[in-house]
Amino acid sequence: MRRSIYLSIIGVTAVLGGVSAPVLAADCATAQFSDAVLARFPNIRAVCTEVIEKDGQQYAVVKGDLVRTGNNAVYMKFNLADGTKSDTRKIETRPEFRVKVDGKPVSVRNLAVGQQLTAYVKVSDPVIALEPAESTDQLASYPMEEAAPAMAANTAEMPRTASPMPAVASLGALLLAFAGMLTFFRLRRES
Amino acid sequence: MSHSTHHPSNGTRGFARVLRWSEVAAYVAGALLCSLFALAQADSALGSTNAIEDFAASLNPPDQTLWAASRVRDYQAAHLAPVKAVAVLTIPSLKLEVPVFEHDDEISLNRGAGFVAGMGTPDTGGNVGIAGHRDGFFRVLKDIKVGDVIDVRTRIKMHRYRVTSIDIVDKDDKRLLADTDEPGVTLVTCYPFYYLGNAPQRFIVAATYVWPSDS
Repeated sequence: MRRSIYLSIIGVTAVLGGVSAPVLAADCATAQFSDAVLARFPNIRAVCTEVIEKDGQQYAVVKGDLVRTGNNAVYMKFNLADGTKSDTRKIETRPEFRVKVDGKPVSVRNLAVGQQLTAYVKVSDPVIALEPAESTDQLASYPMEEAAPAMAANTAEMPRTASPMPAVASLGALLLAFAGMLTFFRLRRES
Repeated sequence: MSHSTHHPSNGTRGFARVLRWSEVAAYVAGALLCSLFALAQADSALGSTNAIEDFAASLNPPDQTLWAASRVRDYQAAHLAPVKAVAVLTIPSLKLEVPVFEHDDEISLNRGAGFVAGMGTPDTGGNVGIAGHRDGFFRVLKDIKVGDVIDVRTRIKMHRYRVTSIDIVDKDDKRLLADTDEPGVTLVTCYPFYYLGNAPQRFIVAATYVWPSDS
């Protein structure tokens, strides 16, 4: 009787575990990344934290810091296993796409530099997607670019940081002093 | 017995009249200019304080679910200032706290600092330019040191930077305003700090981003 209860508990646990946990067919070391993925992301194994299955496809999970946001794209540096960071990677996305930041859903247009994001790299194809806010949301995958993005040309002009107010105050004081001098001479002349 | 009196000539009377009018004009103009300066100083002090308070309030807007519609409209109208701070810059080592406005126009710089047009912003990344008057809020930059911390609070998050270099460049030298791969902030003000008129140089403080994951 007791044995059958134990078996039942083990059976139920196994079933529940099978439902809730993704089936890990590979880990970062053994995942069969395609040549195209390795060509565009040579250090993928160093930044990969785990491999998950989603919609029947394997994805390497990569985490990192948001470095820059742009039109329909974010730029990230991924955490390497040795504590350093990868080169900057561009990930295409949509402004209204929602990701999870500190456990809260945030749309891409409201992201800020320094926030920690998670992305998925497809093991079989050179595509990358930001982790959606909800696990049930569809992945929005885009082709990975090979190199760090080129920075935009600078259009900034040196600002004018000299206030005219000290000159205004000095001129005002000089005029008052001049007026006082005139008053002094006028009164002396009249007396 | 002759009695002589001194009658000033027409020329002397005219000169005295000119002097008298000059005296009055100088008093009026001097008082106006000094009043303008005093008004600007008051606007700088009050505008800065109000901008920081408004910014802080905007981070935690009150719960308006029970408010009347007219009260909500009044509240929103009261916060529609023509010049609103979009961030607050803090340098703890210099005890500097100043609102940062979207543009670096004269009104904004009188009340605080302003983002330099054509450069990045703290939230979007790149090289963020922040300008301030050397005879106002940014005069304390004369005492800044490499390694000092610069905090910029935006509506989204707090960004921390650490000073990496301090340079004095020609006023037309824009190289330090160039965009960067790494996020950073560049503070710009005129140099020398004590100078009447348009200063010939710029005092540039460059700082790089301190990643939350590294700190």
